[in-house]
Amino acid sequence: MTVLGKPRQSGRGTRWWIALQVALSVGLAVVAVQLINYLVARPGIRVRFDTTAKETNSLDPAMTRVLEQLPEDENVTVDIFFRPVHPPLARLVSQVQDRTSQLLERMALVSAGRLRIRRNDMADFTAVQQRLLDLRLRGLENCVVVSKGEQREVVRLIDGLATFDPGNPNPDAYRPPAIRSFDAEINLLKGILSVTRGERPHVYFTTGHGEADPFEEGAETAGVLETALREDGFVIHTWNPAEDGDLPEDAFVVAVVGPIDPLGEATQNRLTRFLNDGGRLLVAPHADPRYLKSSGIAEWVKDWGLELTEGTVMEPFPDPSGSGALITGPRSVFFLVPPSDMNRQEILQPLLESGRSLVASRSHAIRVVRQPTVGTGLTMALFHSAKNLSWLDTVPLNYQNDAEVEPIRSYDLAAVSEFSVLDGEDVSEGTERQRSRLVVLGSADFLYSEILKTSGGGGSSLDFAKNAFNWLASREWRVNISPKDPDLRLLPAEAMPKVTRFVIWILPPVLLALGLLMAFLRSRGGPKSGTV
Amino acid sequence: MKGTWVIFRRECASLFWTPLGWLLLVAAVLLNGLLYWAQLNQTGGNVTASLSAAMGWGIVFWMVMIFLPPLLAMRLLAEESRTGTLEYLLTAPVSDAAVIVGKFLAATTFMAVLWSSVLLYGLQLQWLGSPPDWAALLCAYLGAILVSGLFVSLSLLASSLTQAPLLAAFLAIIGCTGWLLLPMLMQSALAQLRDILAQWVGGWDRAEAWIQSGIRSIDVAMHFQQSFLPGVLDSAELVFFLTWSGLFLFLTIRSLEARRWRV
Repeated sequence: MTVLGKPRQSGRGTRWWIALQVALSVGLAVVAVQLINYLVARPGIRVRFDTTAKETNSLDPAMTRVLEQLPEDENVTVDIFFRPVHPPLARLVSQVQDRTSQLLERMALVSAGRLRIRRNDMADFTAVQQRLLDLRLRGLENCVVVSKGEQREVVRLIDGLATFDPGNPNPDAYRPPAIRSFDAEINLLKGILSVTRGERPHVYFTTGHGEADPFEEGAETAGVLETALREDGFVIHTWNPAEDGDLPEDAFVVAVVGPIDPLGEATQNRLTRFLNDGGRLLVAPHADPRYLKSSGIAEWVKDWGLELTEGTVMEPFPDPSGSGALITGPRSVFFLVPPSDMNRQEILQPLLESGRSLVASRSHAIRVVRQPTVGTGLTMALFHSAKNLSWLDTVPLNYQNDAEVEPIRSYDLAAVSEFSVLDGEDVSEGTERQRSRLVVLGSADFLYSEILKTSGGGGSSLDFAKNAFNWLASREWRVNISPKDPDLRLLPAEAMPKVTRFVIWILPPVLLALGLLMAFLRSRGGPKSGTV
Repeated sequence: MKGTWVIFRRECASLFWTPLGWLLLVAAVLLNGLLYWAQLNQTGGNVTASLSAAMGWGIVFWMVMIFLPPLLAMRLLAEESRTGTLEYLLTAPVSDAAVIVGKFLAATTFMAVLWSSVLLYGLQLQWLGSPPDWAALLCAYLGAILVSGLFVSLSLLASSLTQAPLLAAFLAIIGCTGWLLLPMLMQSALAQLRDILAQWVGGWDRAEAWIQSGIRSIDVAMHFQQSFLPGVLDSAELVFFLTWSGLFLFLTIRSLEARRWRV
């Protein structure tokens, strides 16, 4: 090693002095390496590329957003309680455990230390019991526990992290067990959102005008929506203006879903005032043209530069006989809105990212006729029907396209508006209040249990409904993720002997033969070593 | 640079013209192949899982990493030092750094050839109609080369410290094993002492998180298995392997230089 200082005269002293300098320089080099590694691992400097074909190593953007917005001062802890299980699910459970562990590692990385992963060794019975006691839980295994302070959420392996198909052991109809879907990401996200949610926004559904009731079960009710919103951290109430008087102070979002009777000027004024004061409003008229008129909603939404048409948007549907032809009829009111017919807006972002379609049914068309005052906001259409197929069936509905009066073109089916009403008359002098947010849907069918319960669109209708409320509550980051399927590449069983032959009986002997050839050539005067 | 290239060629020639090199290669490829084959059978033909096992999840990969670089490196410096050829090399018109880097690259190339057998498995799978995820597989291959480089550099350092090849190999095996197992041992010790420390140290949770992060920062297996192996190219992991390999090479060069003034 290089001697940095003046060597001492005494032999032993000199050796110690050199040893000290060597140790110091090695120590400094190690510290320098650690420092470099620490710096390059900082968020903002670190760059990651997922090279896998299906981006299986990437977190969903929704998960990334949530992790990045976790509070820095209080850590969220994820406890892992995994142990092997007995056949027939042993191998599949092990796969899910591995994938979950990898997912959690990636989540911890993205969270920059705000998410702490704690692996509990199930063999250490005492330690596991103590940890469960700390979490105030008991008798758990094969699950993960998301906790923050006193809040905790348990995500079980089976039907939580993944759903399994147990298969069929009957030799005549044998089907091996399989992983039906890997849902760890969405359920861990729900767990994190659950333990980190702060104040729960209060949503009021108007009643008393024949609206869809959130606390009732049935096709044309909002029961499914109420359950989903409650699970997502909202507090749901109903508000009957005639009986309850003024809108309660804690109202954050008000929803008017499918009224039949007139809302009345007083109610409309109250809601308009609420919205203009920075409130959040969702309006979804009844799909029946008669009730659109009778409720007065079509006239009311004109205040915000929106026009609701009386007719119903329709699309032809494939011939059930399988001829491939498109036909028209009563079923024309049900159709899918693919991502290509959606506009880029926070509510639709998760559907766009996961490439899912939205189920539409009996909807009026919406038209944006006027934007809010310049510089104060923006009103935009959310999604539309197919431009080459759809028409607006005029009243009375006959489910057939009358080309002369019902042109084939796209029709917008929902719109959002975000604006702020100024205190002063002049834009430049006005003081901005909290921004108002408005969602107007083409019909209440988008929120009815009948539609939200259907599996069409992979549950996308429910995701859309929840996202709309989350956007209204300024919780754009509370969104849903579709389960990610593993990129499973399987080798057919009949090809296995070929692999065996190549891996065991061909490759090593070929290498051995090459080695012998080299040795032979060397013995015949081949290069023994290079020269400098 | 020219000197490095000359040394690299010389060392490659000596590695691939000796029966020992080929024997090691055959043994490693056979063992890894058996693991891959067993994994394919066990997972019902899961291509990704089986290739991952051969390229870094399996025990064979890490056994090879612990034993092969020390065996290769023992003859790169210690044996040359014992036979006296190192002195000729050091008096040749090439720098010490060129000598060390050339030897390092040659041994790492040997390891790269060894791991390329997994790419051959991939080619066969492609031919059989079950193509692997090539980008991810190549990413894992790059990672395997970087891990090999790290263990080769550590072994070279051990080889530079002694003139006895077997002792050099022994030291290197201890070093590689320690480097690999240290995080696990530290975790185990931490688990044993957690209760006692929690009683004596105020704010133990925060301290434990800090220690855990320190342990993770040197965990080679974790750095490889959580980035390159599943197919993630991560700048921080790339820097981790390059800086630690660079540090060991730097120390090896210093150690070689020290011979001069010791003599």
